[in-house]
Amino acid sequence: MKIAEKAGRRTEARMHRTPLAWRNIVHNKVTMLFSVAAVAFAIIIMFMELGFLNGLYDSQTGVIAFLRADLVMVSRALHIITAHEPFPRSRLEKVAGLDGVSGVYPVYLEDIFSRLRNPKTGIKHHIRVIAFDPGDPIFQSRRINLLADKLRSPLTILFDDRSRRFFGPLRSGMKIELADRAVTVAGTFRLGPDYHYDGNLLASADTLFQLFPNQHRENVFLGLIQLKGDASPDAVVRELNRRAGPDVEIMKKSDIIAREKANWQKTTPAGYVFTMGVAVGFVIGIFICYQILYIDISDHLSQLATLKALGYQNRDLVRQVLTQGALIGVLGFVPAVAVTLGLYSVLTTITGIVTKLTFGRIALVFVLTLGMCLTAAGLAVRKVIALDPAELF
Amino acid sequence: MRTPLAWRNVWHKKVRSLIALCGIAFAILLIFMQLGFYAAARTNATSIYDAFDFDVVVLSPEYIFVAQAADFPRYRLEEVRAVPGVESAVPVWVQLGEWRNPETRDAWDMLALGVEPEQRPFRDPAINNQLPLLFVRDNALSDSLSRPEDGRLEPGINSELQHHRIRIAGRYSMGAGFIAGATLITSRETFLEVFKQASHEQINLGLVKIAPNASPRIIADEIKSRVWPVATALTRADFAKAEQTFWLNTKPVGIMFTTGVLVAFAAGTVILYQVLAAEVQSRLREYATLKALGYNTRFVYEVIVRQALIFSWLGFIPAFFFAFVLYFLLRIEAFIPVRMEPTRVVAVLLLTSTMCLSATFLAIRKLRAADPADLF
Repeated sequence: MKIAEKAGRRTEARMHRTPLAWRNIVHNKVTMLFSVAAVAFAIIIMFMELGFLNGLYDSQTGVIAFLRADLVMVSRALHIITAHEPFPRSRLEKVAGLDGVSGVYPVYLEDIFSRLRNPKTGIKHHIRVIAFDPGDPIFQSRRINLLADKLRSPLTILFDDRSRRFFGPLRSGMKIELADRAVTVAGTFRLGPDYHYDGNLLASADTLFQLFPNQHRENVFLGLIQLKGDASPDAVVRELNRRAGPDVEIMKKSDIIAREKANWQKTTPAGYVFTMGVAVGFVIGIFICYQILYIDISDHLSQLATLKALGYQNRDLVRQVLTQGALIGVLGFVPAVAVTLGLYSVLTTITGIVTKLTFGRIALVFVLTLGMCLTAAGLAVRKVIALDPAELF
Repeated sequence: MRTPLAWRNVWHKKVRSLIALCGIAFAILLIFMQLGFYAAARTNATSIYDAFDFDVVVLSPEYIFVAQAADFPRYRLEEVRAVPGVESAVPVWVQLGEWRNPETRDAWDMLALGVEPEQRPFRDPAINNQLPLLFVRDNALSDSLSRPEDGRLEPGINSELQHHRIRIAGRYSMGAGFIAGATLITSRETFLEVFKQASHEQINLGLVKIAPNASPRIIADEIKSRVWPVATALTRADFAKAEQTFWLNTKPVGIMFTTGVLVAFAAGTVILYQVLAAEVQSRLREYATLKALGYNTRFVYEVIVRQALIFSWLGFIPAFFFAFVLYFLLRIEAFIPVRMEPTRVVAVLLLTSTMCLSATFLAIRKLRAADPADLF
């Protein structure tokens, strides 16, 4: 009875307790703004570096994500999709009739002789040309699948609107020069450049062979395999790899995307640089947050001592400091996300590389933020624990 | 003798000072790293041209950067040679190709440089002296600073460039990491056999050497007026600047590194301010006591400024050594050519001191308002 009463009183007291951590933060508005801005800064560093890294991975695998396929067939010699390793078309046709396969579609690619002249400046830049048979439903986007029908007329192309700006503004109906031949822009789509390619064009396979004599219908760069609804991708991959031939490799779309990411991580300095950037942002955040809490505790030393003298336990004060740390983190996080969105769009305008801020990425940075603020609070709280009320009066 | 107050303040609370120092050291380290990456991208941008010996370069107006160097007719070099003050003009062919790693058989990008061996177009005599090896067909020299994906490019290795057999006959060190994974030097004949679309009559670069007392700018202008619009000419300095601008302001990697430097400066200032403001804040009572004891404000300021400088220098030392180690690791592990340049060390030290001082002045405002009477 007595225990229950005591417990009841305690919960009541907790509910009616003054939100000390919150009041402490908002007490001095200017200091609060400064502290929140400083923490937001550390969070923005993490967001930016993570954004650079994700921008690299997203853009580099963008072309695969852009195409509709359950499985992908590539040459066994192809270790990274920027390399030129075609495989014989017969390999793809061989698997077309196998169980579970609903369709196979060859994709061709040219990026060496494909120089596109900017109609305004006259300067030619390399662009990636992705070619296919216009009847094949190879794009994720329905709109592009329909638009692709326009490529049936010879020497027409679709231009990637997100390509780097130095290709010039190309609109539907314009006549432009690609590989020293006149071609017509039949429409635009949106894919975006990456670290390797500055822009993209879509063309029919026939147009490609007409423009580039080095290309041949038998030399396929990428084979897209779509499965029937009830087929199990893993089983089909095993079966296809057994049947297709030793010079090609069949992978799930998600697997080739993962392989591309791993390749870029391993072979470019960017992976090292940006991962290190995130770590540095995290550590900097700890120091900034620690300093803020430390100043705050120093400012309120006599109040804290009074609380202690009033009978508050160390436990209560520790909880209060940790809450304050977490609050500063959360308060800094909100403007940081807003600023990050702005900075990402600026970077996209300059580089053309799209950096997506997905829920998972926001959640990751939020967890890192809480981790950094609580670590800092843990460091700063020592001063409160060591506080002796008698010393202060 | 006077008590070294600033010094004692630093040593007073050791754990707290240590955390403050860590914060400062980290901020400095961040600046070192970002500046290092930026400088690496900058020097890397011109590393190929730094190896060539020329004062003025002739190139196509459609030239974009070294791996997308458009071509122009070779006979135009005759007009260049006719310009007074020009001593020599030699052609160079440049093309990005695919090199098959002899161990893994994977194909990787390789920038091939085709030269006429008898012209000795390089600055480094070590490269020029190996050029006669290239008179043998299908021979090439390889860059010892190539990325590991291209395989061990040692003399004697045979592999393929664009499906054409190549034998490595010698080595040089250039290091063009960001631009192409690796570079290779071949003779003109080998180059033209490897790259079927390249032609004897169409060259990518014309390297011009001028008389010792001639002005490169005047000669470049003169060449340009004669060969325009088929080709154009740039002095070595302008060319290097254009190439760096392309890498740092147009290529995504460069833009990311430039952004990184800006972020590092801003973050560094914020941290230093936070650390020093906290220092002043936590000793406000002591400083006020000094004021109450009759020390003038100037004396107190001096103590704080000295303390700030001690902090920044103490933080600088570990940051410098860490940066040194990290640069080394990045060179070995990630093949990023970052080096600790003396000018950078001095610049960062000055910068840190300036940032510390300005942070102190911001923090000092609090002290000016501190009335000794208020504090007790």
